[in-house]
Amino acid sequence: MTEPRVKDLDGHDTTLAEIAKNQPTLFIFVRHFG
Amino acid sequence: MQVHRERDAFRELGVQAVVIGHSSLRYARAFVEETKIDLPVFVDEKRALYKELGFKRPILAFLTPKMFRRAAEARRAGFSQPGVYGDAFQLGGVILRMPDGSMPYRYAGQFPGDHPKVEDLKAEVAKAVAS
Repeated sequence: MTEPRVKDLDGHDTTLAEIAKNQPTLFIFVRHFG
Repeated sequence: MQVHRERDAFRELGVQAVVIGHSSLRYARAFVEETKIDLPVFVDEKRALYKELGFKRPILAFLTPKMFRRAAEARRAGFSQPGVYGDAFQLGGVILRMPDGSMPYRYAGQFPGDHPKVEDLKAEVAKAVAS
């Protein structure tokens, strides 16, 4: 299964796996920006 | 955001914290500009991860008195909510993901303003990193 992708602020696609590949990562999913 | 205030404590545990929001890059950039947040920020434009991780979008959850209580607590703690961008009914959550792909911790908000207490979160993270 393909992991959903997210965009960084420059618009580049990445994945949670990529972000967390070197370090345990706490992903905080906010309810909204604002 | 309490995790932002405690970011150094998480760094000391060897954990990086990042923020994921939905809606669009435009709002994400405005969020970073307004809050001066010192954490990486990413956007899940279609809320695909929110859905996959089971983070709810329950419209009725917005009618609970708990939401108003949490909003008052947040205001007293110095947090404000200047505006809502994107899907106003989407709830948030927190996961800890390890480099091997495992997810030893997941918290899904049950109503607006529901999030893990930062001390509980630190304890869970410390336990996961130590094991």
